[in-house]
Amino acid sequence: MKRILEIFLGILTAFGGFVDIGDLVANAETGARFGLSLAWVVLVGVIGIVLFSEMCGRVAAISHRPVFDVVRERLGVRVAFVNLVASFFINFLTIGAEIGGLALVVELATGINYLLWVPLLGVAVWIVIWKVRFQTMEKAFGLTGLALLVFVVALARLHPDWGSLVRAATHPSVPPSEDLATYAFFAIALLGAAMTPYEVFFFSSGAVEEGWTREDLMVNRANVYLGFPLGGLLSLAIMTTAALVMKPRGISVDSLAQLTLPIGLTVGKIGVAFLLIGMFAAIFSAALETSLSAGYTVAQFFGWQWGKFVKPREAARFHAVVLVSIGAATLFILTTVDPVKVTEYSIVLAAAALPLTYLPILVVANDPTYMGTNVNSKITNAIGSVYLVLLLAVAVATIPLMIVTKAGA
Amino acid sequence: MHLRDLLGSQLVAIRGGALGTIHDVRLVQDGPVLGSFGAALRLDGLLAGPGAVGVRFGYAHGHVDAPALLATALRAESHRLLFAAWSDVVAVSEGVVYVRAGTALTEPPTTGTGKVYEAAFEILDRQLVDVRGRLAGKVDDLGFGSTDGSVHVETIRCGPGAIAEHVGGKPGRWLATVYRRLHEGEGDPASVSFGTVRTIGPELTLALPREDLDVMAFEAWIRDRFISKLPGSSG
Repeated sequence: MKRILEIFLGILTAFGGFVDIGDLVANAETGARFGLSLAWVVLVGVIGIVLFSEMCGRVAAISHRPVFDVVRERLGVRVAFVNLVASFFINFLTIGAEIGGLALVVELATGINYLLWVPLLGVAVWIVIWKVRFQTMEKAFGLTGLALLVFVVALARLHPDWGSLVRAATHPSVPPSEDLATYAFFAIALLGAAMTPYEVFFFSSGAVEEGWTREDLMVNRANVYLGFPLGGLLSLAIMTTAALVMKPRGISVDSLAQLTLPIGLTVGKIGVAFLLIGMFAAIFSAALETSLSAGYTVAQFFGWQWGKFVKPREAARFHAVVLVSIGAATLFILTTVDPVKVTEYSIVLAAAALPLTYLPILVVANDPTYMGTNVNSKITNAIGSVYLVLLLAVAVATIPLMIVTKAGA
Repeated sequence: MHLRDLLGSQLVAIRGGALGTIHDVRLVQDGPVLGSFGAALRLDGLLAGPGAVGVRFGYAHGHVDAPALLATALRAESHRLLFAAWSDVVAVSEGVVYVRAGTALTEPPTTGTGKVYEAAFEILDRQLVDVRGRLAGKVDDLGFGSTDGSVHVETIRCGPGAIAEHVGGKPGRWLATVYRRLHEGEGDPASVSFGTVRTIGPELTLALPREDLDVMAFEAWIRDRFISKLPGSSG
């Protein structure tokens, strides 16, 4: 019974923790601009992250190797170092985006300029990482993030014509006001938001933090096969709400404040309160995950002690990297760069960098010296190969599309 | 001599010509007894051929055979990975290993004298775990030594100093500079006797506590100067 409750809680945590600043911005922005004509990308992204995370979780449970150990073991020190520099940079942008996003949420709640909140929130993120137990931290923010289900309530209150929504989602076409390059660029942004690499750094390192073994493969599957798709449905609800409320009015989403509009219109003040709490918790949880991921990637590349399962003084270099990353990201946001812009760049670059981590995991998940009998099934490999080709194509196309479309402007 | 000096070097036959690039090194556990590890890993031969990626991923020798897409693509790239016995090597210089005139590469022979390891695929870049299960660095390189005419693995080289010059390019030079600054006057990267290794698997476990490794000096420095000063660091 206790076991079932634990698995259930794990699913809810994965569900509530799925959405972060990247998903909020990408889904609302594309919904307002493209209606549901990019909804299929969310499906592609969710299947991708399910596939990728399940492999990472299984590798971690069986061989106790987190992602960046595997990256170095399979790609060799030279390619792995380039990979580390790229992953660390993108992850750094994401930490900045999350801290900036948090500050914007607090500005919405208090009316006090977000820049004042940035340093305070940077410190708050660090204190939680420093003091709060891993499981407590993960569950508390993941579960509170479920307040974002207010988007589902809003959607129901809009009484949409479900038939025409499904038709729009299943018969995608480039809207007449947009060109194909911009459409493709936003597709990549949505894919990057759903499949951000820090999610797998965190998921696999978290599995090692929690001491997963063969017996936890069930927990892995439950989290990934149920929690993530539910998170994907929530992403679709955000996109659909924006498509129904913003698109007909010609409002484009370029700030978090605009997300309160559809909720305020349909659910009222209570709804907006839920929205702010949900956004705060979901983004805070992502800020913790990305900050820890900065430490995870560097420590795992060099073989240093890492993790919250030991006392901070036992993993000094790991905690130093985490602290310095949070500090630097906080300063970066204090330069008054637009956090929403930082988010947009971080998810697009994340999509381009995906093959760097995806390829070694796919190889090791098939290596019996790591996995014993728990190597990939034929079906996983078939879908995994399709995604390998897809992610390589995305990686090649991203930078040219970014230049051609002036980053979707 | 270090493992990373051999990897990536050209294999050349005297009065012959280039035989290929060295991508891995075959070790056989039948050397003289080394600490609690038992028989040392003897350098049995070099594995050379045109492609490196398939070797690194395990497709070259059939360690891994799925997904079909990668297996097919990479086996074709690396199927000509062949063996030259270490006993045929006459000289090792920077970037080139010379073997006796008339040496031709063969299929790797079967060896009955001890367990066989492919060093780059199975040992290099793996995590080191100390006697109490704590993380203690990576196998950044292996150091060879010779006794009685045979060459075997003597040490694990550990720390950024062992990899900096092999990372290559600007990031590599940057890493090497940072490492030199931090370790002024300390010379070589830390080395750990291979005799302290207990098991070789997805990680290498050691029979020592990590405090006994020189490579932990930087960790101790950060701990004492920085992390320990913050409230709650032992909580």
